[in-house]
Amino acid sequence: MTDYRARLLTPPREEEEIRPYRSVWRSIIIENIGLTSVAAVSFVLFGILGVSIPDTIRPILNIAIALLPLVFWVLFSWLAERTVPQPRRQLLAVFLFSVLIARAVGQPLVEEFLRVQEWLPLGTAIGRIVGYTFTVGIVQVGLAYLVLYTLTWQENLRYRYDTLAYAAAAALGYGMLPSLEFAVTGQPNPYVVAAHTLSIFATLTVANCVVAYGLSAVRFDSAPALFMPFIIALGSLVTGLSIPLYSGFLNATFSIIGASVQRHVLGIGFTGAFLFGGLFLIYTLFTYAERRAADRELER
Amino acid sequence: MNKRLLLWGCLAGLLCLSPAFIQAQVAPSFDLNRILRATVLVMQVRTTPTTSYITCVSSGTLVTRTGLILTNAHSTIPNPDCTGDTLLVALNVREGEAPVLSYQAEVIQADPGLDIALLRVSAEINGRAVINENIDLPFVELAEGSSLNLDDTITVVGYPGLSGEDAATALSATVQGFTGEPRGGERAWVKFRSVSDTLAEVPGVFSGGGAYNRDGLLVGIPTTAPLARQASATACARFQDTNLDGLVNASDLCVPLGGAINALRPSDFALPLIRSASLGIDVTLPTAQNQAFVASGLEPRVSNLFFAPSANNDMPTTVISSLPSGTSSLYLFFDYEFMTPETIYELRVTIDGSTSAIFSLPPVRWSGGERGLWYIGLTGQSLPNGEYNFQLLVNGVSAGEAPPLQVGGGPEPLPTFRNIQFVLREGEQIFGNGYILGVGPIVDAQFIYDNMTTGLEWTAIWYFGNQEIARASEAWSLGSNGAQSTSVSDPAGLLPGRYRLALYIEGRLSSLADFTIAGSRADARPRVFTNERFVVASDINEALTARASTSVTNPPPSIFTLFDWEQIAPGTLWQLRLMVDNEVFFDQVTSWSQGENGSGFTVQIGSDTAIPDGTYEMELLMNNILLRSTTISVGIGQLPIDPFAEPEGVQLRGVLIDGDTGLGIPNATIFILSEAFSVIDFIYNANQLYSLTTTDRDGRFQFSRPLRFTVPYSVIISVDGYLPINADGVVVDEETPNPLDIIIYMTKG
Amino acid sequence: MIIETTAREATRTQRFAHYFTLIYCALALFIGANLRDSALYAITPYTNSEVGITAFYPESWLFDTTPGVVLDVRDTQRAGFNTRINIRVLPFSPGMSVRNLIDTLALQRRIDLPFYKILSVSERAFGLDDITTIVDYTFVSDLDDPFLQLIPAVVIGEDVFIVRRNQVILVSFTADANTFDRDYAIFERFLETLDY
Repeated sequence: MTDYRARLLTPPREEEEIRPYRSVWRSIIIENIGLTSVAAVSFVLFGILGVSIPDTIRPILNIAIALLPLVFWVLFSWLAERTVPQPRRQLLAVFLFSVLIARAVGQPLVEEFLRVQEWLPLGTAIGRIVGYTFTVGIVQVGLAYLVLYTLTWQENLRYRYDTLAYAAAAALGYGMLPSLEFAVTGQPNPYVVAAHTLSIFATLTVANCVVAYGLSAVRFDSAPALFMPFIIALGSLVTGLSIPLYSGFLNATFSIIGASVQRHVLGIGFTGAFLFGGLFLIYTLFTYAERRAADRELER
Repeated sequence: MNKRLLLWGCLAGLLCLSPAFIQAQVAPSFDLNRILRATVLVMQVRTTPTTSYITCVSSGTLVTRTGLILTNAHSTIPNPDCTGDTLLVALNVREGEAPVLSYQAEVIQADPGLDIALLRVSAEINGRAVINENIDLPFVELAEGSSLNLDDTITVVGYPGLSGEDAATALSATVQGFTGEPRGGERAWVKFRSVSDTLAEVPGVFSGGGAYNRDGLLVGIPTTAPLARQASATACARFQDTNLDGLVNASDLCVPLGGAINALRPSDFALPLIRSASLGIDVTLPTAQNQAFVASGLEPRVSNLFFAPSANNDMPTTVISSLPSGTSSLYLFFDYEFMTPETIYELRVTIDGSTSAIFSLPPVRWSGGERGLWYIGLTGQSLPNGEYNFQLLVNGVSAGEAPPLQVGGGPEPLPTFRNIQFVLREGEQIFGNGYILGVGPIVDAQFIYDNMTTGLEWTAIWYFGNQEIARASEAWSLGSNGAQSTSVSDPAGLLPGRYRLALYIEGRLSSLADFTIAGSRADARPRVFTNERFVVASDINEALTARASTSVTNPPPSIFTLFDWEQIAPGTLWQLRLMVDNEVFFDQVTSWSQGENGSGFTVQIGSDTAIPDGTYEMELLMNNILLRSTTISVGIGQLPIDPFAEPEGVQLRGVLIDGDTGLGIPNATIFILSEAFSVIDFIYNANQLYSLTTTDRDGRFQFSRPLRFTVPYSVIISVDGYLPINADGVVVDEETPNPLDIIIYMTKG
Repeated sequence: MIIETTAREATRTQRFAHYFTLIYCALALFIGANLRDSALYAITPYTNSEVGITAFYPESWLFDTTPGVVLDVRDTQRAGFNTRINIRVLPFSPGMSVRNLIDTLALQRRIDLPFYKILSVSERAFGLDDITTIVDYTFVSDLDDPFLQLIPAVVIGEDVFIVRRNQVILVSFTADANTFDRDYAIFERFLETLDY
């Protein structure tokens, strides 16, 4: 639509296109910038400046930090979704279903069946990457795929970026309980909770976005049949890389002078780079796929 | 310019003398934390069918990693003042906190007279037996040879009492002087005074604890023996309902705590006991046990108190009643009878009516024989002018007072006899001299006289035991200074036993000396002991007929040393000393309890398995004179080295924390590898380990084996669920804080 | 650019993509389980030619040298009571029965192990033609370090008595009561590799 009322000498200003859907990238970026900022600020406040908070307030603050991703998602994704003409109706279902399946299937598979905590931390660097890829990674990404496929494939993938919106909701759901559990176990420092929360959701978001890309490619770009398994492998590799690298950066080195403390600055730095680097790559892939789809449309 | 230099010099001098500087000059190896951790509280407990209650308490010190504890005998071995039947040991688990009851212990070596006992941890507090080789407790080293001097700074460590706040405490003190006794020589006791701000006086419960020199070596044991029987005279505490009447009052047992301590028993006295216990050697005297000397059971008493300015071979050089100014030694001599190792005696000294803590001796155990001549010598300190009154208390009751002694003024030229020496003679032939003589017809006593004048009446009285056997009294007819002799004779030969010569001038005791006749006369020394030998045998009967041996290749469970003897009167003091590699592990002075002549006195040196390799030596002495000795080489003829005997170093401890939760990680194992291995070499073989530990419920850990200085170690922390933390080249040095507290945050993988 | 789709039947490629994805997930999980097994059940060979015993014990278990014990290994990486396997060779004469050994052992353990109690004595086939006696017992493990606040652990143990001519090979397995059942698989694998 064009406005001809204003200026006669200048070209008519093109009014912003009214989109029927919420912009997914904007929500994802805002939410993750918010999460990263909280992690960084809390590290500066509590980790570096040593600001102390009363023991009675600490658990509440920790829970609040663990719930931040949900708060951000509700504000910037779910509520925003309700303001657009054609909202994505299954977002809440994907979130809740992911919460349940993480608790009912994911956690038992990882902890009871694969028993990763008993053998993976003690492996070599390569061994840990491969191990996490074929255990935590495949469980996480595989379940995300199943949730997305079950709840959205039939009727709710209307355009390419729907997969991203649902994948982000699935990531949130999958990470919600572990994040809360972390916050209420023991007496962690708030900056540790913030860093851990960021790490969990960064890994899940990037991995699930990879799955979203695969789903969109299969759904909208007629990708070959083996493309989706390849994407699942890639997504699990993302998890397989993220977890050991994060803990590797974080892990303390032995020192007889003072305390052998965890290097949270490296952990948060790595997570931020991993998160935004990963999202940038996926954004590029989506953009490229969309351009190719547009080209195909033009050719047609 | 010169004034400025002088000023700076004075300031530097003052700085050097200031307590802060003295504190800062403490040797770097002085590890107070290790000393405090090695200090234990020993409780003697009496158990009845219905209850248990504490009967005596004292401090103690761990002297080996396997749980040997050095402490006092009076509070551990059952006696009328401490009637308990079980020993419990409370360890200093946390700094600044009251000790925690952790183990039961048993007495394995003791010298009741010296008031030294060596305990061994035998069971956990719940009664479960412990394997001592598996225990790894903090311990301290003993100083070899008394190295303390007047005004030295020492640190006295012990437990001040039994209240909840009474943690192991270290007090700074200075050496004030020394007290001599026949057993132990001039430094039988080290006198000290607390200079600590914490406690002006060292409490009685410190008894049995430790005193340390600037190198952190144990140099003495603070000692006092409180008398429960004399409750009015000593501090005691009632804190238990021992009669189960629902009240804690005067009818309940009062646990003796003792008064202030100002005397140390030098740790040298404990070395033989510790060596014997560490080597697992048990010495028994089957022959002596067969005919044990039976104590009379009469009330102990002292008599004939007099002063001497010095002692020679445990005998007074002369008898005095005054001393000139500036004198630095004074000996109180007295006769004693019916004393036992459980007898407690005390010396109270007043100078011009004021009690002198420096010269007084607190209540302590009797370390001499049953009867004889004894002295308490004040040496190493200058005697202030004044009138000295010496009072002896035995078992808390006044037993004798010496005539007042004046110190001050110049030397008085009084007529004096001094330095009595004895010579055995037959005709013109001399068969030996000194204070131990063989059986013979004539004993000459040679002495020196000073300031004598013609016509003075002098008297020589000879005693055999307590019985006067000869007396000679006449007017002095010789010059004023010179040497003279007097003699006693018996054509049939003087009987073996203890003799005394007392010399009087105008009825005043001027000199006195004892000597012993034992054995047949020989060249220089009498032949008292003969045919001394070591033998290897399975039991005492076999030992009596076995051939003498000078070496044995395979260490047997026990070896025997035997000797024959000639003409020793029962009751004569004799000394048996056993050594391995020239280190004394058994030293006993006792009264002879056998017949006058005999053969096959047997001493058994045994062990549970096999006696350790080494060169063993037996020495037989009388009046501190070595009469005979013999040796045997066992195994390689040299003691093995304990690779774990490393009290020096830095103790590594800390807490293992879950980096996520901030909580301690319980039950995790931490390894330290030997310097020969790095992390990459570790193949999970226990032989590669230097030490390992397990974290407790709070994630706390501590390695009992200290890290040696400048040795590179590797550390491995590998716990299920967490990323491992490994490090090579972990080095500590003397500048490293000790104990080294570290906090390790583990990351979940 | 917005390309809208509505509900529709999946294409053949999409259906195959889904199937392949499921198959891949299952396969990857299988690989994960294998990686787990190869890590958790990694073994180290042990040979004692003097006693004539060959076995494979879990890798990364601490090999200890205890007097009188042929093999003594334990899992030091496990927080809590270290799961432990050890082998001893006991003399055995024709006049003896395994029951005698069980009683002798019980008499000693009664002293060494707090709250020692035999739970059961049974017999079980072992290998092709051997019958072994199995003794299950329990005790409380109390690490002795008075300077630390160590909490005792309830331990379950199992002794396997294997009679070999004039000897009895005693294979003992002890684990925390909470993890005994799960760790028992390790012991079973160990017994499978035991050659004597």
